[in-house]
Amino acid sequence: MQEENAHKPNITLNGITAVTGLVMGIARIYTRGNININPDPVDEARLPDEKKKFRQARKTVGMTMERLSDFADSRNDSDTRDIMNAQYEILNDPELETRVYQLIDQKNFRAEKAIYDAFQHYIDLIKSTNKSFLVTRLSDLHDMRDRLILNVQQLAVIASFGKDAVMVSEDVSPVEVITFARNGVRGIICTAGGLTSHASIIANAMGIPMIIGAKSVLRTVQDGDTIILDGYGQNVIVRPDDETSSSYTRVIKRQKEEDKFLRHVIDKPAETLCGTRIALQANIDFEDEVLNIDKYRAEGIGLLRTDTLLMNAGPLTMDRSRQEDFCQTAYSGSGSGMVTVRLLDVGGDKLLNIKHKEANPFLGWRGVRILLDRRELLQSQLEAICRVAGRYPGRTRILVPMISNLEEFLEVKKELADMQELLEKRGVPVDRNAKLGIMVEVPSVALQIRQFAPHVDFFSIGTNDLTQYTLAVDRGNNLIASLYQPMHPAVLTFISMTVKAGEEFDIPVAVCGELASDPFAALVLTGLGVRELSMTPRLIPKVKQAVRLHDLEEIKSVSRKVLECNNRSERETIRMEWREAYDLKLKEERSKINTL
Amino acid sequence: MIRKKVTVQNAAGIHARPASLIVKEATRFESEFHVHMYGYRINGKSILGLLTLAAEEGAELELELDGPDEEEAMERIATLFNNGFKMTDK
Repeated sequence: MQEENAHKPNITLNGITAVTGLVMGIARIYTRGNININPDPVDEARLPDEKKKFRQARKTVGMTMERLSDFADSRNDSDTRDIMNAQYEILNDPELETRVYQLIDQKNFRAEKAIYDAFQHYIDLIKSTNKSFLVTRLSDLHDMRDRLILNVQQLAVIASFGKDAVMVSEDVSPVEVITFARNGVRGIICTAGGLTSHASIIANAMGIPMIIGAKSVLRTVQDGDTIILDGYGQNVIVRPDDETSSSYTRVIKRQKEEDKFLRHVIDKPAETLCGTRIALQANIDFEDEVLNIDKYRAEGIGLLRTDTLLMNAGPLTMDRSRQEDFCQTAYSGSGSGMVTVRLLDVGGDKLLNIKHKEANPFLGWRGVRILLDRRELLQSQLEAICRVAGRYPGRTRILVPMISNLEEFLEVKKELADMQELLEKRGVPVDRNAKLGIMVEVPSVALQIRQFAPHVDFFSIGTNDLTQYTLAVDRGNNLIASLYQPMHPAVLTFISMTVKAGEEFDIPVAVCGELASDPFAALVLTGLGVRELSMTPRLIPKVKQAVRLHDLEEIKSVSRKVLECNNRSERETIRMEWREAYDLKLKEERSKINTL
Repeated sequence: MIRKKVTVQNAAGIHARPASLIVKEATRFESEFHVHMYGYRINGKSILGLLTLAAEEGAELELELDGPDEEEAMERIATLFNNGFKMTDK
């Protein structure tokens, strides 16, 4: 049957939406090919490009070295750590670089040939020593060589795709997503992949619609076919017929108009009809995204994830100066807004392709639990943050993830005070008013929120983890996907308890999970009393529009209804009723704007 | 410029792990670092260079450091050799 499908028009395949959106384009089948070396020399003029390819490949391979997993691995496994350290040094070897450049400059070699020969020089030398303690361990060199060459070739392949490309692949790595984004790829479709994978987080940040788990897509699609990625319908349409394409073309056109329409709210305040202000803040993962803070007028950064830095850092450590640079970029790119820096939140869903296994990673060694076991990592993070905070007094919030006990928080608080004192002694200015707060994501914390309140400066609710811990539902598990309900009354009750404690103790409460970026959910949260919502910046205008077209009483009544309803279908009915009313409001608003 | 003779003391010789430790230590310093052995002179900040020496237990090497922090660098690197490349924190 699959064979028959290979040429049929208009085939719809189901998948799971990892990043929502709707695009139509040309399918490009993406595979990680085999190594093959082209020995032909290139023109003199192309030599600088070949050198650049080598540098880019080295950077990319450095990022893909899966430091996260090896970091976790290395707790007890010193062998793995040693291999990682050695591979890292091989990659950054200054003599290797010189040799590659010489081969390019003097022999006009392509990057892949120069890399191959440069490595071969060392491999031959080591072999000729006949020392078995070295010769038996040449695999590290082969491995690094092949990874660099593969990467050079991948870059060339991706760059050759047009701007209308929709990538179809078995799986993609975070780095591949970044490479796709830089080349203007329209969408990504994978046969495998988990919802919480790092690749989909990056695709979301970059605004590339992505569908995963489209199991038979590779057997159905041919390279060059027209393909539709429908993130709203959770499906993929291969070789759409004329009728299908024209109806989707209309939807895409409407979407573009919608985006254009939303631009009118960008410079307006985020306040309800009755004037209640909501701070709409940015979730930021990468330096590339910092520009979006100003573009979408985010009020500061509600969540600066530092996890991605670990991928780029040296083994076992996070390079402090890189952390400092990242923070510096974030502060300088966010006007006078607050910057909420979350300490490393790895483990569980952030570990991709892990070799380190725990029976229950989500209940395991992650977040603050890792930081307290690895003090040097915690201290290097605090030092980097404190140094930058000192340059921007009054703008810093430090967020501690995965707190399940008060002791953990107090321990971090002490480390922060110690670090500030140390830096002051060294004459480095620090901000003694930097705020220290916790992620509310573990039910025990939400239940005992009043015990935490006297000690913390702010609360930030992570709805993704709070939902999965409260409902005992792994959101990456397809079999129980329907049980993952962030708007479940139990979850909303925890959020409401946190808001009330915040009001009682006069502590800000923010929500930084993906939930905040859905206009309906954002209103429900607002109705519960949340006044700070943090999300991917490009989604801010949509939420702002919804906030601006309601008054607080209306919003509160929706929240109350949702809080009281006992099942998913009732909740869907409430959402649909709201949507209908909201669509009318939008229509009215649109005609107002058009007559202006 | 300063020079110092050291002996490889660990049984396994300078394979990938000790070599990466040497590079890691050496790159912390500004001084240029070279290693002499059997008349070869290699860049001590290059792990591949160090590996090609194929230095086994008992091999004699000469460390050469040249730069503003050569004294401290020499002490740290020589200590690595003398401790048989045992991992030391900080």
